[in-house]
This record gives sequence, C-alpha cells and structure tokens, in this order.
Amino acid sequence: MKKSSFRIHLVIATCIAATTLLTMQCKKYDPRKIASTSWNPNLAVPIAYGTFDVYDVFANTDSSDLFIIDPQSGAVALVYRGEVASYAASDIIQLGEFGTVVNFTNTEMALPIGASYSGTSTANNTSALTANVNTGVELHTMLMKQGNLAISILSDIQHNHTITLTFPELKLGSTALTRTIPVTYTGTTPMVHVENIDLTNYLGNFTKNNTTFNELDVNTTVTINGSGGPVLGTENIQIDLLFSAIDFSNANGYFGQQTVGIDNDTILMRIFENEPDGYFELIDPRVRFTVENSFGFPIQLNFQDLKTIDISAGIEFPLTGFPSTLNIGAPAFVGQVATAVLELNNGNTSNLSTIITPTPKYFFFEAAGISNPAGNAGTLNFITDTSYFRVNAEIELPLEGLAYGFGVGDTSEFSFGENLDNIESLMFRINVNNGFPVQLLAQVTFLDTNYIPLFSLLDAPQRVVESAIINTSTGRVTAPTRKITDITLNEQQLQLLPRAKHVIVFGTSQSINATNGQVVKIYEDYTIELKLGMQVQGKFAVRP
Amino acid sequence: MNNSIRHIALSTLVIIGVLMLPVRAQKDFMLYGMNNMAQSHIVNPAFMPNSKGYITFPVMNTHMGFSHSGFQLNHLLQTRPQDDSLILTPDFTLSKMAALNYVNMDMNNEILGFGFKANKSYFHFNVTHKFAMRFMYPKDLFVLGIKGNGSEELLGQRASMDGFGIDILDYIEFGAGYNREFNDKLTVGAKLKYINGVANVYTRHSALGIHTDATTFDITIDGQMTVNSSNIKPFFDTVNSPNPRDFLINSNRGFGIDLGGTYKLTDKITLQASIVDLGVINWKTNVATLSSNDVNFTFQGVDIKELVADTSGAVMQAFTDSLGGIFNATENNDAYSTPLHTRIYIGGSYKLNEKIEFGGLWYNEFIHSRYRTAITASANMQVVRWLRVGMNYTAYARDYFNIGFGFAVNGGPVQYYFLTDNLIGMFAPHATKNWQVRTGVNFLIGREKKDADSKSSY
Repeated sequence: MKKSSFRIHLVIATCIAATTLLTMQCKKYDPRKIASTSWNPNLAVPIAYGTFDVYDVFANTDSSDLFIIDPQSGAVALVYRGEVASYAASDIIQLGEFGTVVNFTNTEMALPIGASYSGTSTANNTSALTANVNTGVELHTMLMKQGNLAISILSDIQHNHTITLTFPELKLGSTALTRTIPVTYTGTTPMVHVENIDLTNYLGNFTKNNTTFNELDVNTTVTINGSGGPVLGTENIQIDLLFSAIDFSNANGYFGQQTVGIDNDTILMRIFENEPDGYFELIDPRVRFTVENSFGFPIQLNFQDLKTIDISAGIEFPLTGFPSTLNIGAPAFVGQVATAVLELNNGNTSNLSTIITPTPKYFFFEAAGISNPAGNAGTLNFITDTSYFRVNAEIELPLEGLAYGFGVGDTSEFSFGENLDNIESLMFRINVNNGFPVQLLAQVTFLDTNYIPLFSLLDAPQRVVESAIINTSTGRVTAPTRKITDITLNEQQLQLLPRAKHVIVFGTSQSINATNGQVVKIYEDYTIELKLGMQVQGKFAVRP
Repeated sequence: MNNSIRHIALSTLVIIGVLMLPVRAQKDFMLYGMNNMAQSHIVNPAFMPNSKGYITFPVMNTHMGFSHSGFQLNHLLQTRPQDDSLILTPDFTLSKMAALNYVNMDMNNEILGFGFKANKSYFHFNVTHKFAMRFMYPKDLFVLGIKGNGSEELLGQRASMDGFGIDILDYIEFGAGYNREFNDKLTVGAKLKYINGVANVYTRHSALGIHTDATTFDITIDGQMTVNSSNIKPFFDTVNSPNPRDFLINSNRGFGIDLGGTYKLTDKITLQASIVDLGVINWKTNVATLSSNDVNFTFQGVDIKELVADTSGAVMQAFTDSLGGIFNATENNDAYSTPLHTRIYIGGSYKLNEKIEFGGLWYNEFIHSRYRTAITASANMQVVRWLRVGMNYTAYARDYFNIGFGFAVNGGPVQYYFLTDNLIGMFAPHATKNWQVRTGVNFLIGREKKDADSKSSY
C-alpha cells in the first residue's frame, strides 16, 4: 500500500512539474507580438534577346538596298542603287499637230460666169503636208498607234459637187487613204462639211519616194455638176486638213542628236545616313553604271561631274581621274536592248576610296548624253513606243576596311512612372556574344526637364561589345567574343529616375585595332547575339 | 534494489520530461510501447490485451495527429533578445527544412470495435474511419518565395519543386484480426481489412523545376504532374451538388492486411515486428485524373527583332499566350489504385520487473518511394493496478527531441486512456513539429483478479 501510494504521488508530482515548466515557457511566446521586419527578395528575369546577322545589321534599312555576297568567299558588300537617267520614246520624237489648207477658186475650177450653168467641171490639186517633229528628227516612216485626220470643207458653189481626197503614202495595209465627199447644194451658201478619220494602224511614208523626209502628199479632186444655177465668179472651196493626236507604234528615219544626259541625280548611301563621326575607310569601293538602250540609234554619255557630298558639313568631294566617256551602241533590231557597263574603282579613278572615307551621305552624278554622236551616218534609226534609254548607278561598298571613332547617339524623351519604393537596387545585364570585328563603348545619361544631367549609368563610357577575334592577315573573324556588362542603379539613382525626362544614349565604335590600320572584312556568317536581363533587389516592409 | 532502480528510472523520465522542448509523434510510438491495451493491435496484430475481451465505446476512440516536418513556428518567429517581441527569421527557418517537407494530418475514429480471447487465440474486430492528408512541399518553394530566383541559393541552380503535391486518403476500414500464442515464446497475428474508399487525392507524379541561368537569367521551367482524384470533382461541379451516396456506397474497394509477431527471447526480453496497412484501394467512383503535359520551356525574354518589326502588339500577345500555354492539362476518368499508408514496426522490450518495462522501436515508412524512419526508446510502468503510465523518446524526421507520454486508468470495467507522442505539443505548439493524441474509452471484460499488486492489470 505504501509502495502504491508512493508511485501515484511520484506520477502526479511529475505531471505537475512538467505542466508548470511547460506553461511558463509558453507564456513568453506570443505570436501577436510580431515586430516589423523586411522582406528582400532578389529576382532575376530575362528581358529580351536577339541574334543579328549581317542582314540585320547592314541591310534592314530599306528594302531597295541590296546586300550582295560573294558566293565563293561569303564576303559581304552593300549596294546602293538608283536610276539616274531614263528616257522614253516620247522624249526622242515629239509629234505635234500638222496639216494644210487646199483652196479651189472659181478660176481654178474653170466655171463660166453666168445666170445658169449646166455642165461638168473638174479641178485637181496636190499639196504636201510637213510633219511637225522636234528639231533634228527626219521622219521616214511611221506606223500610227493612234491619230486623227480632221477634214473641214467650206464651199459657196450653188451646184452639187464632189471632193475626193487621196493620201497615196498613207496606207492601211496596202490601201491608200482616199475619201470622196459629195457636197449637195440645198439653196443656201456657204455649205459646210466636217468629218474625222481614225488613223489607227495607218502607215505613213514621209519620204515622197525617198526624195525627202517629214513630208506627206495629199491629192485633191473637185468635180462640179452644173444644175442650172448661177455662177457668180467668186466661188471658192476651202479644204482644211489637220493631223492631230498622233502617236506612233514605231518609226524610222534619222532622229538627230537628242540630249539624253544625267541631270544632277544622287544616290543616298544609307550606311552614312546619320552622318556619323569618326574615321571610315573602305579599301575597295566601286561605282557601276549600267546603261540600257533599246532605241535604234547609238548614244554617248560623257560623265562630267561625279562627287560625294557631306550635306551637314556642306563639303563636296569630287571624283577625279575617271574615264569620262561611255558609248552605247544601237540594238541590231527592234526589241533588242543594247547594254553597256562602266565600273569605276580604285584602278580607273584617282580617289574613289578617298571620297568615301568622309562618310558622305550622297553620291552625285552628272553626265551629258547625246544620240547619234557621229551624226547621220546613213543607217536608219528606229524607235518604238516602248523604246527606252536608262542609266542605273550602283555604289558597291565591299565591307572591307577599318573604322574608328564612330560616334552614334540619340537623345530621347524619357518617362518613368513606376513606383520604385520597393526596389533597393536594379541591375541590368547586357550579355553580348559578338561575331563581328567591331567593338562598342557606350554610355547612358539621364537628364531632367532642363537637360541637366541627373546621373549616368556608367562612370565612364564602357565597352559593352567586345570585338571578335580575327586572323590579322585576312581580316576574317576566327572566334566570337562574349562580353557581359552589369549596369547597376543604386537606391539613390532609382530615386532620381522619376525626375528624368530625357535620356542620352551614346556609343563609340571601332573595328578591331583600327587605329593601327588593321583591315577587317565582313562575311555572311557573322552574327551578334544580344541578351538583356534584369536583377532586382526588392525591399518590402512586413508589418503585422 | 528493485525499488531503487524503479526510482532511478522514474527520475530519469521526469528529468527528460521537464527538460524536453520540441516533441513529436503521431505514428503511435506510445501505443507500441503500451502494448497490452485494447488498441495495441493497431500497431501489431500479435499484441493482445490483458483482459479477456473488450468493447470500444462507439465513436469515442479517436486518434488525431498533425505533423510538419519542415520547421517549427519558433523557427520562423523568434523572440527578440531585448524584449518579448517576435521577429521573422526566414533564413533560420530555411535552414531547418529538408529538400522535401511534409505536412501530415491524420484523424482515425473507431466507430465500433471489440475483441475476445478464446484459449490461446484472440479475435478482434473493428470498423474505423480513417482520414489522412499529406501535403508535400519542397524547400526551394520557400527559398523562391523568400529569397527569390536571383538569390545566391537559386541563381544558376534548379529550384526543385519535385515531389510537390497533396495526398488525401479517406476511407472506412472493416477489420477482422486474429492472433495466437503458438507456444510460450511465439505469438503471431494478422488482420484482414476490407476497405470502402470515401475520397482520395493522390499526387502520382510531381516533377517541377525552375532554373535561372546565372549568366543570362533565362528561366527554364521543366516538369510534369499527374494527380488522381476520386469523389473530389463533384465539389467543383457548378451544376450538380455532390451526392452523399457516392461517398459511402460506391465502387471504391480495397483490401489490406496487418501482419505481426512477438517472440519472447527470454523471460525479460521480447522481440516484436509488424507491418500494418499493407494494401491497396481501387478508386472507381467520380474519378478524375489530371495530367499536365511534359514541360520544358525556356523564357528568354522578348525577341527584339520581332518586337521591333511588330507594330500591332501581336508579339507581346503571342508572348503572353505562350506563357499561358505552358501548362496544358488533360483529364481522364480511368480507375486507379493507391497504396495504403504502410508502416513497418520492429521493436523489442526489456521487462525490468513486473512493473517496469523498457522498449525500443524502429519505425519505417515509405512516402512516394521516399523512405522515412524513426527510433523510439520507451519506458512503461504499472504504477498501481488501475493506472499504467508510459513515456518515450523518439527521433523522427530530423527531430531528435520528442517526448511522449501516456496513461491508462481503469475504473471498474471502464478504461480511459490518453496517449501522445508529443507532450510538448500540448503546451507549446510553437515549439513542436508535431501534435498527436490517441484517446478513448474501452469497456474491458474479464479483467484479472485483484490478487497481487505486482501483476499488470489489463
């Protein structure tokens, strides 16, 4: 009994002791008394990425810009092309209205004066019409695509009569154009008759049987049938003939020495559009003129003024020592196009590389051109309504050379309305894997509304793009170079950011070892990979 | 001499009990030590009570447990030295977590139970409602939330969400057990269980990772997830209400078995081993299995070239759509099986005298192929004929200071018992990872006569 009592007391004492101690421990711990603290997560996120090849870097400005690749080496060249001169058939032959007036007097018609005339009388006339063409044009034949012949008759003969007009060398197929017009007296004078003839597909021969040019005969016959009316002696028939709205399908003859030059045309070299600073040297630029001639006569171009122009500085850089004359022969037959090419390069000019080096915005062209430079050599010229003469110019810039001190920059409006209270610091990571032999130093500066700098992201312009490694003898890249740049905005800068209203992004680039004359070449397989990431150190107050 | 040893043992238990702070349990470690109670067959079907029979009072025998292997509340909120205010200490909290952590909640309620001896055989029956919820979360989920993917811990590393998920197992067990003393040394027992599944969620596969590239900050999401469920979908049906019949009378059938044995090595030393809840449930009613596609998506930001070329905003829209389309899930309604929460107990006891017994236990379980173990040392004492007390120490799930306590008190044929594997949890929940209680009332039949104070009483 004593043992049992002891054991019970021991157990009860143990329970009381444990409960007391445990309860005391608990009193100190009150989850309602949580002090304020902070939460500082760190988040890292990718923002953007891109892989840019030579097309993206050099050829994405305009779809008309050409980007050519040497199929064997893969070397890349930029080509800026433009049509600097263009002439159509209407620029060579301008055909105006032309015509003549044929008169028949009483005398020519041999009508006897009297109160009553009942006989028959006939009179004839042949007149030449001279084609109205521009100076120097000697038209031999012409197939009309369209045209109109207006015939206007004014007669005061008080008898019925008939007028017959014939153009022996104006034929539709093999039939000469002939028109017989009856004029009926109805008791009143003058009698008027007007009609038009469609000349479509008529072939005119303006040589009067190879004796001349630009002329076309018309034969006119008047037959009067006396009906008892009077003959006063003052009778007259006037016939007006007018060719108008004439357009030709083709023509031949000799078309003279017409002007077909290049008149003050330019081509924009888009790579220099922003007129960058610095030194730029391409070692093998080329200017190529490609001339096409489908007119049936030779043409000669004489290049007078070729130069580059730095618009912003107002400086022109004339090209010298270039071959000035380019002869373009005539095509052998209608439908053929004669082509001639003149390429200007360092070998046939004195300073082509030199005038490209200042990074001019435009290449300027001026040339005089003339058709039939040797005059009329006896061979007939031909022309069709689709004939043309065009001069295309290409500026080819093989991307082989060097550059340094190239500054590119821009000032933009800036506004940042986000709440930055919960950001302790912000880090941007620029990760560039560069396969181009070019490096870039950059700086970003934020300015307030008065363009006063608030802060710059970097202490000094920093190299954010490192040049790829090259073979110094060939200028070709052998391995890309990765460069990681971390740009951190501290808490103070973050507080200034909402005040920023403008941002200047400025960069300076150069090809590798350019200042020592290292020439680099751009190839098709070059790429540059860009990845932009952001790491945010947050700060959040945690209040119970 | 015996009294001295008994006093020393009790004093040791008292000291341990007073000094202990965090405690844990829930796997019925205490019940295993008090192995001659009516409910002892739950952990080893070879255990039998000292009474000739018992009837549990309906619905009054309950087990409840909550366990969190990750951290304690006082890891997250620590007392500030200068006053009694609490400060958040996330770094310390993270240091306490394992790569994968578990939040367990168990609740078993014995609706009906009875057992009786017949010579050397012992028969027992039970109808028990069992509910278990298990939420698994990776440490990196908290690292990601607290420190961010740009932190030193995760930048350049894969934040592993592997294993993330939830399991809910709710079923009614109809058990019939039998054990027999084959001789003076060996007792073998088994219990067969017919199971009617009520509801289930089972995270069959969960692999998910978020990797942030240390250089580019590119974020790669990988993984795949498959979750089975039964009788859960009706709760999300916006048209029809869940039908209660589906939860009780349905096609969710399962079977389980408990096996166990004890062997008296000597008069004082006994070895025990058991495997319980070995079985499966085949879920067929209102089944919905959601499977995500196998994801491997890297977010690199916006494509600059596309963005520059885009004037209509289509690029940003396409980008948003692609993020939204990372995880596409498909659903099927095929039947599936889940295992029961199988546990393996291997233990031994040393009977110091007729009143005091010391024990040792090695506990084993597998959660989604992940092995978990525990070691328990226990002491039990028959204080008087109507009172038995026990205490234990358990090292479990990276928690090495768990003190359990239990007692069973008899008043006539009625027995009340209270067992906990985690005494501290009763008083200082902030200082524990676990909280567990098993309590109930039994009606004992054929208790041994009050012939001697030295004999065990039930």
